[in-house]
Amino acid sequence: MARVDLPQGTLDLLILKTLALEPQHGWGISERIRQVSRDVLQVQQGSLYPALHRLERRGLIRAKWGVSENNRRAKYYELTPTGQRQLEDESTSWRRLSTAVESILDMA
Amino acid sequence: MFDGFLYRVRGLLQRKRAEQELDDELRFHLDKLTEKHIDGGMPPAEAVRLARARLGGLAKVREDCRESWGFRRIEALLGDIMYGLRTLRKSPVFTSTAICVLALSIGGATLFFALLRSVLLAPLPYRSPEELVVLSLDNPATGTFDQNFTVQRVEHTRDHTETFSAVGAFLKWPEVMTLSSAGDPEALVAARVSSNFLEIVGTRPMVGRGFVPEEDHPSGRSAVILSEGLWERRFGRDPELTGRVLLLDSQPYTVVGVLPAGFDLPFPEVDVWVTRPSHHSVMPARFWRFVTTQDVIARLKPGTTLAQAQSEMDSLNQSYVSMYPNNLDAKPGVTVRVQPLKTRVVADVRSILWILFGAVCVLLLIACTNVSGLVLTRASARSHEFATLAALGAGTLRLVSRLCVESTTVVVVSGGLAVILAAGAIGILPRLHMPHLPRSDEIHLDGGVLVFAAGVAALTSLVVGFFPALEVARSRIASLLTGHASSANRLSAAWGKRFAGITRQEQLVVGQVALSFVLMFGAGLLVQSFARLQSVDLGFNPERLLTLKVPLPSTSYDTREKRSVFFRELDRRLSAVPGIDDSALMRSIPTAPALFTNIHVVGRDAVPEWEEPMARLQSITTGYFATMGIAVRRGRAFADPDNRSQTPPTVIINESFARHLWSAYPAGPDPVGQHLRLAFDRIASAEIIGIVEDVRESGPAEPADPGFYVPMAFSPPEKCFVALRTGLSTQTAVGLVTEVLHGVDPNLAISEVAMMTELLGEVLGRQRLATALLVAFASLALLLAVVGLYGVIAQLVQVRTSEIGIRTALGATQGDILRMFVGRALAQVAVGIVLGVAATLTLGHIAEDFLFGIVPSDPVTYGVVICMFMSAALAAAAVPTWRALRVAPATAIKRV
Repeated sequence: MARVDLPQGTLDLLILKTLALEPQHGWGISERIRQVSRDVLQVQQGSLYPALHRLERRGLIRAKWGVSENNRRAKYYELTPTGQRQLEDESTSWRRLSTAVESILDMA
Repeated sequence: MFDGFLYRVRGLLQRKRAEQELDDELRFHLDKLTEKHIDGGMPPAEAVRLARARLGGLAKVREDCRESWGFRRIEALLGDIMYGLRTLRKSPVFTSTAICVLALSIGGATLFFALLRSVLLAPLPYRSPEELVVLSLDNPATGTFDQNFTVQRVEHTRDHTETFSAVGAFLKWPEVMTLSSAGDPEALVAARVSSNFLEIVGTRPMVGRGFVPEEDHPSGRSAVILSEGLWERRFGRDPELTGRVLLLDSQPYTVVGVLPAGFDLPFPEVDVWVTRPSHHSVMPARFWRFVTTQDVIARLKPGTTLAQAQSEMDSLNQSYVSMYPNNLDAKPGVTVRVQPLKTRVVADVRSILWILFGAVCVLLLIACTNVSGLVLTRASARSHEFATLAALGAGTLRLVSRLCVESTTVVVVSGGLAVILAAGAIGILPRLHMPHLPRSDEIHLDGGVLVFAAGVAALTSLVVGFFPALEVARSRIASLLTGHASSANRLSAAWGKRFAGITRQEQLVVGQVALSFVLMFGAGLLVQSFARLQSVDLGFNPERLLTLKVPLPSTSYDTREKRSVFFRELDRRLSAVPGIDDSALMRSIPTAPALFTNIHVVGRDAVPEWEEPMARLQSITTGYFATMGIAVRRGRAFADPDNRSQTPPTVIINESFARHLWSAYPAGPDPVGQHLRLAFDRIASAEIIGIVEDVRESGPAEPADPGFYVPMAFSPPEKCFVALRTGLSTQTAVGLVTEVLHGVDPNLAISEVAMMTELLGEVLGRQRLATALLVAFASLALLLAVVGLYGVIAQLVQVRTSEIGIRTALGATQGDILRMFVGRALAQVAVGIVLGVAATLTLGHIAEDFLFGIVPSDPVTYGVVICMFMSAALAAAAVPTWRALRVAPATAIKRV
């Protein structure tokens, strides 16, 4: 199946959603997004890290250093309470947007 | 928002670590990606390459991440600051000049603000200090102000008041009491206060207790409270001292407490406090109830206003005057003045502190404009750099910020230095003995002062950066208007044009000249007034005149005869001491409190005693006029026979006295040979045998009072002063006098040793200090203005060097060129002077109170100060012009 570029602004939402499940490092986030979307969504690696740092600055996620599966030091990100709220808000508006877009596309 | 800010600051501080972590994080990702590719069967080298490619260029990712850290803008600013520091370091003369000028003036403003705040604005360090007031009497009808109460008036006020919770009193002058137990006799400074005094003020002794009411009664026990200094010096902080009995003036006093150091009511530097404020040593006891010696302190009831107290005092005053019309403080027209204690404490320094603060602020303003001019000059020199920056797309804001960063850095450094300077000065202040500055031990640097310093520094950097920024913005707009985009050349040209006109710098110079003119004019007035004060003929010769005081205990010297005998003996022995040229004993010396009493010319119509004229009473030994150097105008001085109580009493008057009572004097009837009734010593008739010249006993600023002199034997005081004219050192002379004194009575002590010139110096101390400070400020201001002017002319000359060359080549003489530039400089200074004169004419009245023998519009001062500015301007303009003229025309023309 062909890969799709992420629409503007959705990367943040996907990162937040991924981190809502469990704390994860950057590599893990990109792999998770790829797997769950069955390889449809391909995160531009070059934009993943700037996005993570931006989210951290905005206080939506926070970072701490941990140890990965094969005993390497890795930077793990987790959702802050603010990030949790932001995720809920953005999920709601995303659902409304996609429903609206779908219903227009579905017009007979 | 704030979190974000913190994040940025943290990022900035931990920049290195953040970079490292970013590296680690990206490496981890790369490694994972590589692993994945290798797992998929790719050769390792290929896997690494592919992984890198997928990450989209490591450098780019890094840069994007950094961008999202969000401190790019701060970094740009930091860059500007570093750049600013570098350029500042490259021009050490500009930098150090600007920093010195600003640090001194900000420091000065900070110091004076701290003074104002601690001395004038801060509440007094007592309980509810706003409730404390002092009462005094004014009588416009007799021209007397801020006078004191009689005991009767104190009692009347205390018994009838409803607005004060307590009314207390203290003797208006400090007394000297001789401590003769526990070691060598020592003369102590004593304050006589009512027993409720400490309670009113709200200060408790650190050891023991305060006074109790029975200690105010003449029949009650005599109690004394010591100062912490005396307790330590004389008794080694003995905790068992309370309850002990000390001999003060040979009377037993029980020690009841010790007051902490720093308590300076009612006077500074008191050793002991005793009760019974009306009992004093200047007059015999029969006068105590009737003379006005009581300074009144009272505490307002909580919630009562000063106005309510004032209106109550007005009505109590009326009832008092009608009940005791004969009292000295009940003369027609008398009114009561209720004023906050603080107003009294700072009355002497209030306006001078404000004036000096104003002066130092003006100086700061001059310094700001001066440094602003320097920055402008540098900006013009850097116009190419700015033009290039503009061409590369830097916005106006960026240009201004680059320009301001430099001046702001200078201001920040100066501000820090200024606070250090001010703190240093404040640290030194308490160690300088400053009798003229009340509350000097309370002066300190606090948060408020630091906020002030920071505020001043911020304002300074605004003022300093404002004009250059305005200039940049205007040039830029001008260049935008003249062309489509800001081509470097065009912008540079626009700049060149603006700075060649130098109008802005010239305006700044005019402002500096005007401000410094005001300061210099004020300083000129003070200097002249001080010179006049010092050259006033005092009526006596203070040179080499040593004075000291000998208090006599009232118990062992309880009769006039005993005192007379003592004085005669002391006088006789002193005159026999080799090395002492002249000596005399007297009731009081110039600058010390004196005794005024009523007199009556025998044979004239009798008037009530309180309406009789008042005159200064001076009791003297026969050597007095010779020792003091006072000239006898008519008749003769006292001779030995006059100083014997068996001979008929004689009196000598001064010329003011003569003019006061014989209005035609020196013409008309001769006062010599007439007789006076002297109420104080109950002398019914004393013959006037001579008239002497006036003496300004209160110091040069005060006119001479009507005064009269009687021989010591007829009016022997409870303490005496000794005056000596001697070439010996003070120490030797005091040793000799002590030896003589102990030969007469070993229980007596000497106090208040001083040279007359020192005492007079202290009277003028405040004027001297204020004059010196204002002269320093004004000189600094003039210097700054001249430097500013020099800078402008130098730059003007530089910009127009080629023009000078062309003009010279075309036949202009050096004189023509000089006239051109010097004329321009003089024009600026003239405008500044006109503004300055206008300001001084408007502000002149402020200085009036400080001037002696000179009016605020003194034309000579105007003339001198104008000449001073004009010649300074001439020099400042001529030097750079002259230098330009020495360049050969051909060289000058080529230099474009």
